[in-house]
Amino acid sequence: MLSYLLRRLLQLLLIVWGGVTILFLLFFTLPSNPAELLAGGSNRAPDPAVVKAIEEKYGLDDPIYVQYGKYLWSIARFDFGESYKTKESVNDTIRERLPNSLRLAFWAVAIETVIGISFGVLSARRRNSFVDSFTTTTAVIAGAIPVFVLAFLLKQVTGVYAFEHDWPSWAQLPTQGIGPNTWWAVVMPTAEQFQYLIQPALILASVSTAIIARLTRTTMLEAMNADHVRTARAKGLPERQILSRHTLRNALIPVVTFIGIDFGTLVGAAILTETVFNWPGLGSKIAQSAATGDLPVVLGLSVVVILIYGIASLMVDLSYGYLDPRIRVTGGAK
Amino acid sequence: MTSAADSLTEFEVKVESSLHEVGPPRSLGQDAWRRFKRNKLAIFGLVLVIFLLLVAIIGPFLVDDPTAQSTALREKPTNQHWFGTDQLGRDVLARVVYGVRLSLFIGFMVAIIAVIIGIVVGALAGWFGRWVDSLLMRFVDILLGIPYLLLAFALIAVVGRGVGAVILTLALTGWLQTTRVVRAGFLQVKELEYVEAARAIGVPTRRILWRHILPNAFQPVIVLLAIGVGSAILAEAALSFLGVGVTPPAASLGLMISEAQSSFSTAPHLLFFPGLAIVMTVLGFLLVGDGLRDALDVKDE
Amino acid sequence: MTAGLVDPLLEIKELTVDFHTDDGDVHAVRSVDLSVAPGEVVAVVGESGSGKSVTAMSVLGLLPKPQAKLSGSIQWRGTELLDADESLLRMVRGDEIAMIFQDPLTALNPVHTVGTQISEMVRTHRDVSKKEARSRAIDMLKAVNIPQPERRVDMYPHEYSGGMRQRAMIAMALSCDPDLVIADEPTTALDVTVQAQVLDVLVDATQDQGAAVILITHDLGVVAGMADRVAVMYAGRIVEQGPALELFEEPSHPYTMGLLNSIPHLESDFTLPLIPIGGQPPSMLNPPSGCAFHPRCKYAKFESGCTELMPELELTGRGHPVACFRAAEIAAAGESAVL
Repeated sequence: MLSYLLRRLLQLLLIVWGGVTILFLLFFTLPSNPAELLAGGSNRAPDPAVVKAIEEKYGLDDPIYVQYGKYLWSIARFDFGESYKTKESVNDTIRERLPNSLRLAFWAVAIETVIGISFGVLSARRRNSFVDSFTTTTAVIAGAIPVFVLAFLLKQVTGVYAFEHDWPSWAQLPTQGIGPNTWWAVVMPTAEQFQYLIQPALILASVSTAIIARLTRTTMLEAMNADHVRTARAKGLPERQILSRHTLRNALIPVVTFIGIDFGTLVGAAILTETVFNWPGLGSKIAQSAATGDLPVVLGLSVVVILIYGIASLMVDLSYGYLDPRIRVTGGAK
Repeated sequence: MTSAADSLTEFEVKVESSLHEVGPPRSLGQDAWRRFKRNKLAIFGLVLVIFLLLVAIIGPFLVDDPTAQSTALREKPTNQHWFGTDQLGRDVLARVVYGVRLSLFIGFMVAIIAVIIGIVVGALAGWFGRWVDSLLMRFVDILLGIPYLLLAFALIAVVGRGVGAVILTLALTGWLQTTRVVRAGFLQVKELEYVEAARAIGVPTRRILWRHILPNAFQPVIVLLAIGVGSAILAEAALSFLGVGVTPPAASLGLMISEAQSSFSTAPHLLFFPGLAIVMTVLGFLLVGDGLRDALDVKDE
Repeated sequence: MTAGLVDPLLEIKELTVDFHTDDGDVHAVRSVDLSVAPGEVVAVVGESGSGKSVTAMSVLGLLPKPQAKLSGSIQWRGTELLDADESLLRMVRGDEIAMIFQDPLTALNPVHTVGTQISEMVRTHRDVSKKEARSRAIDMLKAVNIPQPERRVDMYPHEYSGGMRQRAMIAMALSCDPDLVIADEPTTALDVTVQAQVLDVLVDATQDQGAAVILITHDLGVVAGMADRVAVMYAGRIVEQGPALELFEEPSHPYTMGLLNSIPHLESDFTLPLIPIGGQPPSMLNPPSGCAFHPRCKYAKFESGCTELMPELELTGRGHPVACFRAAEIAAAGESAVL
């Protein structure tokens, strides 16, 4: 078990390193010189002296492999450098933004878990009923609507329409930002904070909710038709026990796995949602920085994102043995 | 009820016939089509796709010039402009038609290229196994560890904007799924006993590949292709919406939606029509993909 | 023969089961009568599709509700089970009638330990603590000769070998001391080498508890050592039934004869070829007219009604009921009755 853990950690390191390298290569082999970008922006022809100064300052005139080496070395010491634009330490940026992304991802996962699984189970149990058709249809359509359209429409309803037509105050929601930074127990928002949180969380959760609902439905149907359910019935077990211990327990294994990985994904994949709602997390900052060519920030935050995703995958793999005893012998799924 | 004695010839017959069972899915194709037809959602999706393809192909001949600006700004739908006009006086219907055309073009290109890359890599990994497999899969794992949009962003930063860039970027990020699936198919089929049996009898490797392994490993790929078009279209819309996708004056549905946001209260049609177009297009492909997945799933029975 | 002397535990009368499918109605069981006396071992023999498993599952109401239509009567100790309320069935299942299924790997839940699966059954029907249930589970594992039961009770089904798994299922079935055990093809999924071992355990364990057994199988060899009575099923009907020994020595129905001729016995003449029954089992969507066996029967004769009329189970001279118009003729004339 320990050797398995070690192996996986090494793998994680490999993936992070690989990701950093790929991104580094991409960014630093830009056809355009980042120094030029900083000196004058993309529109004006920059003053060559200024460019030279910037290059020297950031070591951009060093050969690529030197820059790469330096960067890897600083990352290993958890120093992600400084923003080109604001001189702010990237570490500080991470410290500031990471919790917000984590909170958003947490709530999105909470929403998608509750709604997705409930509807999935309901659809499976009442197959071909109205609930089933409704769930399946909604899930499919939800997968086809672009996230930004959904977000925009939601904001229109709760942000603009609600104000214009004087809806009760709980239905009037802010369309931007994060509000007062009042959280307790790390992830629980105050009532006011919640108003800012709920929309981006819903939007972020939307696609995954659809996936989970359909996945749960599929696994439930499979589990309900499994032989061991017939055995459980033949043993005279009460129906509720059959449902929880012999059907759900089996059906939820792939679903829980998905949810775990989704959490890791959502932290980094929230670029679009965070931008649209101006939620100050990692994603929106990455988008901003990418647009302005602020490479250390992009790279630094990306590393964090990749790391979190890797850790989430690892935890899911480790827990798989707990969920499904058949895997335990080999020490984890691969 | 098995008969009491299995002669040697019977065994040989069994091997050959079981090879045929998994061989080229001729009767399987007809069977799958029948099942596909029964799935109402899938048929609806197919109708959507065909309709949109017609729009994309014939549409340009029937509508006005999408770049022609006029003085009628942000007008709601009229007899002259069925979908109204946009902020530069351009006919929205024409722009939507060209937008659909562009989306479909990008979608198909991306999906096809991504699938080809995926098949090649997956086949190499699955067939040769061992260190080739390890190396390739490590690479895939690394790429999978990077969030999709992030990777797309990074590539865009290098490749620039515009239609070709978008296609390249999305294709380079979208082949990972296919690889996994194709590789799994190869691995699975390679192990099966009857392939060993065929080899033992002396069937040449190429024939094994062609008649038995390929058709089976490919079934999930067709599904991925359909769904891939849908997700490529969505991704392009997202990129264009964020301003890093297709460049104006090209009519991208994502771009149109992005521009339509500010005037939503006065001119909702500017958002509605392109939005509807995207949803219909993506929905069509997703439904077809789902339908294909259900129809080709021979696990039941 | 114990029938008639003691009140039967289970009495199935005119059981008919139809399945609704997209292609039409499948007549899986067509008017079956069967009774089981206390402590008796009744074997139900037939090929796949004969309806034997469906019959077994109807007893406990395990057939999928909307698709399966049942008619007739299934009396357990005087109580009607067919179409009974779920709450009644739940009390009978496991506690009075237990069932053992064919493939123990899929029949047991892979995510729970064997001990848990036995305990939960015990705790459903008896008011006992977790500890007591667990010790009962260990006792039952011991009873079926599973080594180191204290360790094995906390292991998962996939950690058992095939034969051990099936014995664990037997242990589970017997854990609440049922009066009837229905074993649906208990050895079919097992290696030949292990089959005898599992059967022995089944016989011993049920005898120790005094439980009656319905043994469902397509393998006559399995039947030989175990059964008191045998009922032969074909195409949803019982075509012959009687004491095991009688049936083996003097089969009356052409199907039974065919079955016996196709298996090797220890005393058989090895120079004579084994004769399989030609043809295919009939489709229960569209069964043949008249006697369902007639297309494959070498004695089938139009004038006797074989092709048009449905033969009923009747006592012929031989002593046990047969459903065949020509049974008496065949018994008398032997090979010359072949057409």
